[in-house]
Amino acid sequence: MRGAPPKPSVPVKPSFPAELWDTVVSILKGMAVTIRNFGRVVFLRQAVTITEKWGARKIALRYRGTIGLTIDRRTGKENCIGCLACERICPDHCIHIETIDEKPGHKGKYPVVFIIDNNLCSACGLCVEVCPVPALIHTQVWQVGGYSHRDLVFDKQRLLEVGEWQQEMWIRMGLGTVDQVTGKKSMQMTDEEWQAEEEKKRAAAAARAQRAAAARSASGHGKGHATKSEGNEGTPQG
Amino acid sequence: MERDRTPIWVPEIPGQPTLPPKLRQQKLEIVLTRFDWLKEIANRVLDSTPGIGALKDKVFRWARKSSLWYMTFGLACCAIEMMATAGPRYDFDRFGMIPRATPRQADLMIVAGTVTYKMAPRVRLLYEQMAEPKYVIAMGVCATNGGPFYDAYSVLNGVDKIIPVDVYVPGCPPTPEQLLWGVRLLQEKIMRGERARPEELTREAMEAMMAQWEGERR
Repeated sequence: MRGAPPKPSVPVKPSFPAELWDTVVSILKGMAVTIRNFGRVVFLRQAVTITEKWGARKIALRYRGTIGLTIDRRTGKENCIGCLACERICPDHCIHIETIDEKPGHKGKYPVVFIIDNNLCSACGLCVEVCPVPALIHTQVWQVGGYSHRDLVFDKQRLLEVGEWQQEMWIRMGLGTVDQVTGKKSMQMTDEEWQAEEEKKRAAAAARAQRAAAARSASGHGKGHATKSEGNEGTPQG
Repeated sequence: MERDRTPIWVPEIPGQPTLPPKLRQQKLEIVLTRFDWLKEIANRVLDSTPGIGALKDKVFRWARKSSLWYMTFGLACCAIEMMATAGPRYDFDRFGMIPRATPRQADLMIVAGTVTYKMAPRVRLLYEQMAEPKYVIAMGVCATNGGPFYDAYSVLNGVDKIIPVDVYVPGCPPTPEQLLWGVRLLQEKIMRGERARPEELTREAMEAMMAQWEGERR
């Protein structure tokens, strides 16, 4: 037979001085946070607010901004092959493409009209995911807004500009071309051209390694004198 | 001639001799119109002075753009981003933008979120209750064009069907930076002295649209 459940212990009411002490301590704790932040902002200049007037925080690499079209930098041709996969998958129906079958020098279909309606686009990224070639990319561009609906409809020219800006950004950051970032292969280059490209890259890397080794051995022979002079050159004067 | 004017309610003070209603009305009108005359004279003097008219315009626009008190019209998830923009990290206050919960004190309405047909008359009413000059920002794709709910039975495709919109800020939801960008666009528009005032967006047009929608539903 089970006994009665244990009674919950009656909490002891704290005495008045104890309560007062608690109050004072909690207020001081709260004020400490405020004062610490105040000191950080005013004296240490570690600002909490983004102080640049219309500026942004540092945009993350995987930020899903407005969508851009890319060109293949090695061949200078547009990556899009007009497969209409993005138009079909778009849940908001914001992409409109018109293609022609053949264009000299372009492999696959060629999109004559490529429109993304930013009025509807919610940047879900399905089109970027479904694109078989690295043609559609998410960019870090967030400066989208306008006085009318027409300002927000991006035509092909605008999309290419946005994509070009992002490609330039990626190369400057050292992430490589759009093929390397997205992990997809552009259709504008054949396999042989790819092989040649890879060969060239490997040769360049080997040459760089050789040069580095040569420089290292040269500095080793110089018994530290050369390194010292190099160091002096490296430091800024004044 | 009988003038078409809504009667003004004047409290009757007990113990005081009261004027007859017509006289009371006239007296109040005189009092109210006196300020209008003063304003009119001041405006005429300022406008006729060379160099002052343009300066006055500029000063007024500058004052308008640098204290845009906005009405928080959070209808959906965009409201969270709007709150984030008002928070300490992206400080709305440094642009003189203070959230107001009442339309009477607001200059700007940020419609953040999906506007349903049920909410549409309320949006319109709150817009009408705002004092002139008033501006509207449509935040997010739902407010600009219906967005992912463009096909839904209950969603108004774009808040610009019922109220004139000054700036569209797309995104789902737009980041705080993007909203600030929209505010910047609006400030530039105010400094240029432009207003969004399509004549077809009257209350009657909205009511006709709502009636049509009600008919379709039945």
